[in-house]
Amino acid sequence: MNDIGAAGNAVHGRRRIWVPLAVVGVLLALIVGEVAFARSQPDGVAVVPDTVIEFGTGQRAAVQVGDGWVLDSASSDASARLVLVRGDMVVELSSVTFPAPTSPDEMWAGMDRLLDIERRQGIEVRLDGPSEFENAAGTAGFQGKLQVGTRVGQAFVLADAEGEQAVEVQVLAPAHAGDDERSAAAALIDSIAFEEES
Amino acid sequence: MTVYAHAAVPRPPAVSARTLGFWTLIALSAFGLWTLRKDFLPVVMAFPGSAVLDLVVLAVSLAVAVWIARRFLRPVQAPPWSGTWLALMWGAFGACGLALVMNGLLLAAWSRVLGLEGAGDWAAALTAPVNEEAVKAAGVMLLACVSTRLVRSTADGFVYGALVGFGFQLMENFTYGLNGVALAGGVDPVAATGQVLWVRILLTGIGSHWTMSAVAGAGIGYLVSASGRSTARRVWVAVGCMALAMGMHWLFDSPLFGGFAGAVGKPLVNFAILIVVYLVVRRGFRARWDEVAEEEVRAGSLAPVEAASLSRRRARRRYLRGFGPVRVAQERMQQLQLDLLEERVPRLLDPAAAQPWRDAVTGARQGTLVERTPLML
Repeated sequence: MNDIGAAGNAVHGRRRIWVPLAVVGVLLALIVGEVAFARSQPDGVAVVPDTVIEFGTGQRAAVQVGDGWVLDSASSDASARLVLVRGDMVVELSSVTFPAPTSPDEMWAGMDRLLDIERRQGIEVRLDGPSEFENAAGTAGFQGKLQVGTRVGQAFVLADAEGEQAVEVQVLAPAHAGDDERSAAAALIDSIAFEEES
Repeated sequence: MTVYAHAAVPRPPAVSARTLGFWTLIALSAFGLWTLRKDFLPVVMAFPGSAVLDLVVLAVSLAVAVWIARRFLRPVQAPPWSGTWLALMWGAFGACGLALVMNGLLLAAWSRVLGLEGAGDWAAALTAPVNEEAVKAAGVMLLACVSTRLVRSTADGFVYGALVGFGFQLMENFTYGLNGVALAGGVDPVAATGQVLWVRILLTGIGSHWTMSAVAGAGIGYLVSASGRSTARRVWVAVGCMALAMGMHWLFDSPLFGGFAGAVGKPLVNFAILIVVYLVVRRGFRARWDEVAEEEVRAGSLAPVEAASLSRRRARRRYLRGFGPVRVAQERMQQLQLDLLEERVPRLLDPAAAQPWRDAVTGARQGTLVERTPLML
């Protein structure tokens, strides 16, 4: 019995050829449509100076964004991560929620462990420090020098008072980045604060 | 070729490697696996403890999923192992890998369209139901192209949809388990992975991907079955099932009905929809099964008592218990009878085409040798 010719289901005979092609075609059409849709949107959104963006779990973390920053909305997610770009400078703020109260030392060690992912990808990563840090908004934590590939800058871990949530910041730019960008990034870090839990 | 009828069943393989559908499944699954490897192998290497926990949970979940799908989700008997593994492979690698690429595109676009807060609430609900249901359903459709005997009824589509969904869900749990490490800042990575898996398996697992793609799969099974129903009707049912599956996924991902009650309630709603669809599918399958069983009784291929015992697993076991020492031979004949009736399920197949299966049953009953040519796919 020749099963290909038998109508055990509706996909027999020549349909065995064009139905898989049609399935692949539909998936490709969906991908092409989504690429076109994504490309029709702007890469980033210029942030109005002095805007305060709340982010993280329960949107408890907040950062005040100064002049000239662009929010990379494709890489940003209000519940977990903000990526802000100013010229060559990229500031990535990640909100982290810990399962139990955690000390800043453990937070720093955790961030170093997360950088192992990039190390495993063959990227040269170097994290020095940490040293204690407190920003202008009174949020305390650690800071240290960071190098990822050819980009250099600083890493910060800024924790809330309970040790349950933190904002981890990576400030990275090419070595030749201007002082304007660096001071704008410093102002950004200085504004990071946590809302008190109600 | 000379064979013993009671040992050699006229049972052509359910999967044909000489089809475009088969190689499309393999090629796209290989692409999906490459995508997943590229994104997650560095995480696995950086956090081996989390990866081991993930793998152990994945293995246990796989065993449970295969047992549920093969024991409960198809009336009368389980789907063939070859189709079972193909469906799981597509769900875990093909569908999950493709969805990873497609979701990346659409989620980024929604962030730009809806803004940070709007995207945080709605991006998942506007992305996953489209992309993930499309790639999972594509797998069931490709399975229908692998041979004409893998997806032959709505019930087949339902069980293969569930298997594809299980494969997807298990791989997604694996990747979410690893992502959980980053969300917890790399602190106590094994506990972070365990917490994510706990929520995704025990809290939401009951109404996640497998329920949605089982519903969509039932529609595809209805579409491709040789049931004699009009094309328009089959297309509309398939479209309706796909829309229902997407709706279930939308509800699951939407910010509506949030909180703990929503997290528990939404999967239960999906599970309830699955049960309703299953009961409808099973009713239709059993009605057709009883019809062909009656025809075969009239044709003399089956005794009425045999036909009555065939459609339920427990009834088959009870029937065999009475045979004592010749139980093994009787069990083989029962399998031949099941194969005969399965062969008769597609309504458009000429009943005469099932003659080799009838001959096999008759031969097994008489304990004689049967001459037959090798079956071809």
